[in-house]
Amino acid sequence: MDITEKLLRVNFSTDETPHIKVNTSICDTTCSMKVCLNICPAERFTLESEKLRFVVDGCLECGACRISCDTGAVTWSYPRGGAGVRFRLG
Amino acid sequence: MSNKFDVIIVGAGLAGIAAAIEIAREGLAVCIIERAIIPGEKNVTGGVLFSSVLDDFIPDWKNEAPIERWVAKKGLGMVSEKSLSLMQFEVEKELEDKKAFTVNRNAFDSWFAQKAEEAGATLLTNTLVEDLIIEEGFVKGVKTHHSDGYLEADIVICADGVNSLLAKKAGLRKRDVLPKEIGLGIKEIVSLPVNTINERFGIRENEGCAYEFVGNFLNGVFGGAFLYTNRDTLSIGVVVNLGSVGDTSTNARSILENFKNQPQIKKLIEGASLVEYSAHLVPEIGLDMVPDLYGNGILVAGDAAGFVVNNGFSIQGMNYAIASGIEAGKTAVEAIRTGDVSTKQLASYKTKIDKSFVGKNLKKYRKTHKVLGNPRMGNQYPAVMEGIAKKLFGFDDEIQPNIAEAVKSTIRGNNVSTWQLMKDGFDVWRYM
Repeated sequence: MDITEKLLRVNFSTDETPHIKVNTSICDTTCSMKVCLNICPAERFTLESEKLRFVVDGCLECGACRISCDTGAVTWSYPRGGAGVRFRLG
Repeated sequence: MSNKFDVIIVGAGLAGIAAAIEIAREGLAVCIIERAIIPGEKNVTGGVLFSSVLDDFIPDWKNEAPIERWVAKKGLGMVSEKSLSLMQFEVEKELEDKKAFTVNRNAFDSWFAQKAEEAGATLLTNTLVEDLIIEEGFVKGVKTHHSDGYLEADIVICADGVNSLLAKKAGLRKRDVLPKEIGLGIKEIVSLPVNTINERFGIRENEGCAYEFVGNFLNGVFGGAFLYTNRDTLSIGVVVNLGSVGDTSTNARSILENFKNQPQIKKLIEGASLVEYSAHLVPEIGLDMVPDLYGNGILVAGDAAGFVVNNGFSIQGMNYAIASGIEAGKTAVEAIRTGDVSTKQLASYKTKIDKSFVGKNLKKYRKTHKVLGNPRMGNQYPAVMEGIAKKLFGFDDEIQPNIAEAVKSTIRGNNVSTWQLMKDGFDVWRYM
């Protein structure tokens, strides 16, 4: 089962403004590690034609990218109240 | 609603709600602010709750709280590519005593929050706290994301979880948390009929299992896996150290897939369908990452304070959250009654924590993560266990060796020296 199918089983209430911003120009120029590709449980970071792509929709709000990325590319905050992931079972 | 409270609590998780109950029962004005629509919706557990802490706090909780199953079997497994060595502990008595249960956080936290409201606390959901109001060195309240969202209080309790952005804003966390100090939990909840779960795991109605595993599915990453039975679902997941995932360039998601595909594990989840996928961080190294617990007009509790203890056999955090919330609540009540909310008065929170099982266990197991972080725990030892078991149980067609011969030849075959085995054994003896 791929990640899209897994995320289809999760409820979200969408936010108008993204709660995580990724300055991908930093990722594409100075970051060789790209630990985000390995740690994000929702696979929100992907490589497309060697360029980093980040999609906030489907974010599980765990904070792994906030802690693991040391390039300063990730600006992380919580979604506004009432928005974001809604675990039914947790 | 008034904009001024005696105490504001950020986060309606277990720590925050416990604090609110304690404070509301003493008749003080307390408000819990939660960013989710329903308490518990943002929270994830493995999850077994060790529940003795609730006995005195909510006397009738066993009849009221939403419980999935009472844990009757606990096990620790070592998995290799093809085998599982399981150390299992099964009880009847503890089941009667009801010491631990599997839990759905959405249901449990909602119930627990209702207890706080019944005690007189105000619950404000849908609301994100963006910042603290700090005046002359004292925390005086919070700023929420609402346009007129300033709420004042004499004390703010940060129970805002493992990603506590507020503890940092208050200057209580002096440095950023490092990846090596944090575990990433990834979990799938899969459904199976109740009877299938009972038969497959050898349990009766309402009885449950809690298993933890290490093995080569980890690909050398420091971590482990878990499998717990809920009423009509299973929780299966991994907790992997973020620093270790980075160092080894291993994909965290693939570790969970490896585990699910291990033959003995696969049998246990066969035919189950995915109901929910979730992820959450776990404070992992215990005492070494605990921030300052108090400041002028502020206290920190639960995951925000790093109160999680892993003794190598079970990872506990929810009971620590409740216990620390209760102590934070008591401290806040005393401080408000004496009219002094300065660090001098709030320092009694640290004393209370140190005296409780929270502080004592954090201290006792402060070095356990060093044992668990030993790469041989995940790599070689499961293979060693497999090798020894095969020889002793007679699976290998040869002249049966005695224990000493089986151990010696197996560790040699797995590139573990006698010296390493003794040293690792000594670490287990000392730190676990």
